[in-house]
Amino acid sequence: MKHWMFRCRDVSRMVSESMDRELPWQKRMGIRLHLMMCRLCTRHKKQLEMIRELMGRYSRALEESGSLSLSLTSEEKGRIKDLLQNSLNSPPSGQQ
Amino acid sequence: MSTEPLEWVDLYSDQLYAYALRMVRSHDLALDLVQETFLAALAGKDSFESRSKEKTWLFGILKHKILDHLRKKDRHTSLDEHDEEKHAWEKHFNEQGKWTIPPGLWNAKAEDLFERKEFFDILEKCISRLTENLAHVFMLREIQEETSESVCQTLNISQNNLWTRMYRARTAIRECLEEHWFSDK
Repeated sequence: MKHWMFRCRDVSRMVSESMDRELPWQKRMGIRLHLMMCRLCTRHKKQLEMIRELMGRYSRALEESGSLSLSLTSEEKGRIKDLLQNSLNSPPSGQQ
Repeated sequence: MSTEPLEWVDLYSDQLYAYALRMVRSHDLALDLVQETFLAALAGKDSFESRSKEKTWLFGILKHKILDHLRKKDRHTSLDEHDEEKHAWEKHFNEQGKWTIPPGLWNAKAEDLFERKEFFDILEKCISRLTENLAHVFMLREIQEETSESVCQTLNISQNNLWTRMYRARTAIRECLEEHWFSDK
């Protein structure tokens, strides 16, 4: 690994990449050494990690509660129920 | 099966819709996907006994449909086409690769931030501002929590394409949050 591969610009990209795959150990080592000496890149890494944590909470919030956002109108729900009812009432022709 | 299929609509349609709307960014499309999810669930309900919970199962069906939708929609563009984005994320560094616009201080914990509605609204706004190609990968990875392999396969993109789009998306979100929340706190 060349020393110039671990400038802040490269490290910031590699830190992001490490969140999507496991980097080869040489890169992991190079990043760790850089971060020990660079508070800005350390700060950046923590911010990306916080974004991931926020997105995880966001994801769970979306699945848990419909009250976070607009919900379907009762007409829209009624139409879906009608569709399901039709499907229940008329099975596929192969079964008759 | 404890509840009737029609009850599922009352119990789960809002959550399913809220999730779909964020992922596909269109009311009509989200509604279609929710509808298709219920129809597919109805058709498959006899095999439901082996699934854990109704809601988890329904969400599983919806997420598959979202993957199918994004598979068709993603433009599979080459990275060079995003020149504007390229300049946006490179402007933070000079020719020597050092920070020119450094990251600011974020003095907060995720759990505290999340309690505040104003922050939540800003987070949502930042996500909605992502360009489509960045939004696809970012939401599949960070909201739907698909693996990198799954995202590459679904969108038919290379790993390199994924990593680059994710870096640009994270950069855009970071900058947006910094500008609209952290800069005056």
